[in-house]
Amino acid sequence: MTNDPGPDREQLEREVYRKVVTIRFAELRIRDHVEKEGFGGFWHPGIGQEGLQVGAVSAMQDDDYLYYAHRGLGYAFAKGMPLEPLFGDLLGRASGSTRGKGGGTVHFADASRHVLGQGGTLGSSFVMGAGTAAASQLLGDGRVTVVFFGDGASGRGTWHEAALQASVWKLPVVWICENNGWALSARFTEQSPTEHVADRAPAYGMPGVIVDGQDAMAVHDATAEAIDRARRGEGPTLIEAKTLRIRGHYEGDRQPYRDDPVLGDEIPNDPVHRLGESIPDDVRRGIDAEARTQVEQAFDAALAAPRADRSVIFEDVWA
Amino acid sequence: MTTTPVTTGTTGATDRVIGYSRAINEALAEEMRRDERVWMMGQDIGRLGGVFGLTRGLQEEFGPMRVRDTAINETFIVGGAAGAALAGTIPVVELQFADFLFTAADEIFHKLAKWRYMHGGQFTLPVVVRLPSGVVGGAGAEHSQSLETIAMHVPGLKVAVPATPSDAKGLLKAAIRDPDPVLFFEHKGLYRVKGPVPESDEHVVPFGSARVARAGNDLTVVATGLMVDRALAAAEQLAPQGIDVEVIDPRTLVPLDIDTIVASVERTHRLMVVHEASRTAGFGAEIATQVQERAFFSLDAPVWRVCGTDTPLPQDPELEQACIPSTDEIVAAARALAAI
Amino acid sequence: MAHVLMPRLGVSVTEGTVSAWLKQVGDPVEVGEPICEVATDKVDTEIESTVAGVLTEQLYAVDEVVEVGAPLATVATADDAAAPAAPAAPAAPAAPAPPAAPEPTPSIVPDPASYGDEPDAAPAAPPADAAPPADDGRYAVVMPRLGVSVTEGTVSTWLKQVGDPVELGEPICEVATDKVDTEIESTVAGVLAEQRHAEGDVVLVGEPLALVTPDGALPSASAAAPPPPVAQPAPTSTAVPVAAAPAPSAPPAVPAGPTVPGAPAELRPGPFDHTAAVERLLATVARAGRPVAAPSARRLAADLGVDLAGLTGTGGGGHVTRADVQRAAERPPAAAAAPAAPAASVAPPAPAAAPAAPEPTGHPMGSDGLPLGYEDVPYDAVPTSRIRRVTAEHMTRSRRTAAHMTTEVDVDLGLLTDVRARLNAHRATQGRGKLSFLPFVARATCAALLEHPDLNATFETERLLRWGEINLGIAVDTPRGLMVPVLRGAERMTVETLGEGITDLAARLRDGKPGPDDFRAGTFTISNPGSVGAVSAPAIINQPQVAILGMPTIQRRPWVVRLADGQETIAIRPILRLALTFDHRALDGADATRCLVDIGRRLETWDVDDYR
Repeated sequence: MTNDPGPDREQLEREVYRKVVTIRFAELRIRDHVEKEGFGGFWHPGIGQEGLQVGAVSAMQDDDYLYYAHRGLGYAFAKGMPLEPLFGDLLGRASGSTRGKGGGTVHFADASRHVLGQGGTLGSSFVMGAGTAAASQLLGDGRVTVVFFGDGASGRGTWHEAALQASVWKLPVVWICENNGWALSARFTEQSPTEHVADRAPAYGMPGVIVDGQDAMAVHDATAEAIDRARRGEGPTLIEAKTLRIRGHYEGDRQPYRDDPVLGDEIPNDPVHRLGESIPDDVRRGIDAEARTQVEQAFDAALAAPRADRSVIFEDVWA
Repeated sequence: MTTTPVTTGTTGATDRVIGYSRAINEALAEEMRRDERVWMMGQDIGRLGGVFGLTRGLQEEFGPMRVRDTAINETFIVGGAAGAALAGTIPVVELQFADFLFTAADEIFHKLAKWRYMHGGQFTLPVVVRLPSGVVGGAGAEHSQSLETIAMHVPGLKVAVPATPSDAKGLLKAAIRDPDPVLFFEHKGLYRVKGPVPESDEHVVPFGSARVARAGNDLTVVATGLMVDRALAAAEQLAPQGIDVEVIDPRTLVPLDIDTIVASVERTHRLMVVHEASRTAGFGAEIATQVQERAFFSLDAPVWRVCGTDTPLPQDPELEQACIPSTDEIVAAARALAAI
Repeated sequence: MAHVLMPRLGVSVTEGTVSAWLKQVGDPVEVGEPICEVATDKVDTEIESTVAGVLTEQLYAVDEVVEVGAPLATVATADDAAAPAAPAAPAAPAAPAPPAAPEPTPSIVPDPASYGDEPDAAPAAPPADAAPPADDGRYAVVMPRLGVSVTEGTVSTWLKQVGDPVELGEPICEVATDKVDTEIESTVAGVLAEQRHAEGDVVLVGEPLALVTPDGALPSASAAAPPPPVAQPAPTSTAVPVAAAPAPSAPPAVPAGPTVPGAPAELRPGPFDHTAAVERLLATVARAGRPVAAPSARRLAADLGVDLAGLTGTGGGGHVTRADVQRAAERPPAAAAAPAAPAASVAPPAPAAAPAAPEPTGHPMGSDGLPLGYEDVPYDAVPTSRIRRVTAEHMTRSRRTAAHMTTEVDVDLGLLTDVRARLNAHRATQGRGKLSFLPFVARATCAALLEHPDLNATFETERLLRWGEINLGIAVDTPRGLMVPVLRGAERMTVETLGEGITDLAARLRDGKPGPDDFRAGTFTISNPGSVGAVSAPAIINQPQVAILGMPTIQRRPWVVRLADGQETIAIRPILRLALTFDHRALDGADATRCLVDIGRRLETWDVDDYR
């Protein structure tokens, strides 16, 4: 990947913009729904972090594997999952990708697009991602596994076990830390002895890259480089995308613990604006309108879809 | 589920006498030859061939990529196996001791058991976790447990508990071919035991088929693993005392061939479950409950349990043996039960 | 003046019914002393006073329903008592007690003016350095006992702040103990005047948690407080046994939490004793008070139409086995034969269970007098004899009356065989007939009964009549039916007298010339179904006796014997399985078995002379 402007680059930026702005509309639509209607699970908003999610995933090939994190839908949408099954999962509808099993925001999956899902216990994707990469290495299929996680999950012991083994085996895996500064109520600065998560990378013998998480294209480029390295068989890379948690841990979290100046509406360094700067207004407005319509239609469709039948309870326990 | 006990999955095969360890090693080698997607990882399984020697020679044959030595990292061994299964391979991993399933508990009970379910059935996780289990002589409280009941309690995991070389091989081959995650509890105390094993690449013992290890008319004893031999020895002692014992080895606890057990109890009218695991809430309790739900009016006496003590296992080998059922205890319990 | 509130006696309990008052108006009450009994749908319990003083009012009559949190009784505390007792006190006559805070009246919301600043705080009472104003029983909300073994709790959160209005029963703080986390409800209405402990503090049961005063002012600082200003005995009042007293010897306060009946389960690691477990289990058979049968026997009984209540169980502890049911089903409903014998003297030979009188077959009857469904089965109607009918009645009555249980022992009759042969040989030289085994067993039995008098007895619930002589009934199978003549004073007889007595009786029965005394006053019976080949001999007790010895046939069985050198070997021995059926109402299995073992021991060890 290069940073050279050119027709490909421009097309990529527009595509990233389109996905970021779509996810932004989705975020706002979901927030509106949760505020007005509430819903059964917890919605962990990813607003403000869409840029890094879409930017990173846009650097993946179609058959690369994705383990997403719990903040928002940007990862999966960027990997090609349609909105309706994502909203369906969120709303516990039979039309969800998990047919009502996942619910909330934690679980969605698309085997055909290699969106492999997420564990409810944060940090489980470290070891699973390393394992998926080990399988790719064994099969020689040339695929790379990308694992997203938050600064909170960086404290899990699974990180140590996975990072160590992945590095020793030079597994084709890329770890992307969305450091938004807060693990629920815990400040990153109070939970880390080093300033950056990426500071830990050298101990595992892998590169640690820090990137501005609000700059989608910068994240894209860093990810593309890490993926290339992984595909070449040179092992894992840890990317730390610096971002900011705009909302609470979940929508409705009043954040009494929070002492940094975040209003929950204003998004400093908003990735939507940054990406939009280079796009002509009329083009951008067209993309926006299309994205908004797409979100509204998908959300309405999800709302209209039936809830899962109880019969699904006994399905999928066994193969 | 069949009520007919299945001894082997093949007919006409010639039996050889080989050890339980050798049988497991053969199953691994044969399945890796049969299917290139099968691979292994674990601590000391490659260069050393496993601390119990189970994987000896496999790295030489299949290379370091398919027989991989890991660091001491059980969450990776199991969680990585789950992830590798999602990418289309069939990992057969070893935790050095079954007790270590607690160090990989999230990976076993959440990732292996639930990933398919949580994600709407989009994935299968054909993973086998081999778990050297049970009392072996002085291994101590954290290296000697029988944890199969814990595995039974979490839906999504199949559980095998082979007691003979033939079943060790046949069940392991079935486990590797199974699309679901299997916890494979090998009994360390049986590794050196020898027995007839059919000479066949297709010796596969289907899950959910109990084996009648000894036929009898007066008392049904259900036992697994090391306890099968002890139950058989007890049966021989009880026979001249007029107590004709039928010994049933379920071979897999998930799925559990309760039909064979119930059919036996309907003939003998008495049931005793023997397990090495602690008494409280062991699989004996589950079998007792299911049998009385199905065959209460066949019972002449309460369902009885002979179990390990509700204590951690002491390291001293003699004390340790006193904590698990002996042949003598099975005999004594059967005699006491006969008074009812 | 303070209230004792209806405590919450269980998570889901919202009310209770006063079942009795234990303290009357005017009675002094201590903290922790029961004042009344309350019944809820979960528990019946005594309500302990949360304050010390004198009971001045029972606010509910017996059988009235009280809601949780409502005041049950009013208690005048030491301070209240002081007031009327000191009429000289200026304010006393005006309002001795009632206005003192805790009335759950509308005055919950305090006048905002009454707290904050204290314009007319009594100058007499120095605000800060005064002795802790606290231990004023009227206002204290004390730490209740939250469980039988709970002695303290930790304040986790204050739910009411100083100045907050507090209602009776309203939670004021949360307390955590090692057993429960719970909210503490106020026992006083008013305004929270003081939190006596900070969050995180450990508070002993009975110690004050908070003060709630009518106006939120600390008592000693508040001249406006309704109680007389004489309320100055602050320092001394701590010595009064008010609820506040944290003295270790003070009785535990307040049953505010549920009282758990019975001891909690304990962890008891230990080896599992299979034999003891089986014995414990079998002991429950006798205690069950109903026919106990294995599940399989129950189903078989249902299938075969056998009434379990009529069966003698031969299983462990006397429970009914499948074999028992099978035997009962195979026994033809009408069997034996003929003539008459005085009623009370009939006893059974074998494990009998013939149903009798009102419901003769236990099967629905058709209009033609045949069992339903048997109309097309050829039959022959044989009239029953009187003795049959008497036996039938007697058997069912005995089964209904006594708690039958049978204990059995195997007796090696090798020595007795030899003894009997020698004695009979000797008798032959004198021209006398041979003795069967029966008189030997009878002789040993009489000897044993003398040492176990409870088996030679009659049970009358309130008393057990131990008979002073052994009148030994011998069940005899006669052509006319079962008869049980009695050998009077059998304990005084030798084996030979017994043998001849039995022979005489049998002859008289066969000749049909028994006298009425021949059947009267039996105290113990021996039944001998072995004479017709039975291999086990449980029996039905011959009322009003409490036990019957069954003597089956002697079987030659492989038997482990100890040789002179201490080695063991298997030999063929004549074995008699004696069965003692006894009334479990009158005695226990161990007693009966000891007697039976005693009989067996004599039979195995006695020489010729011992039987004389």
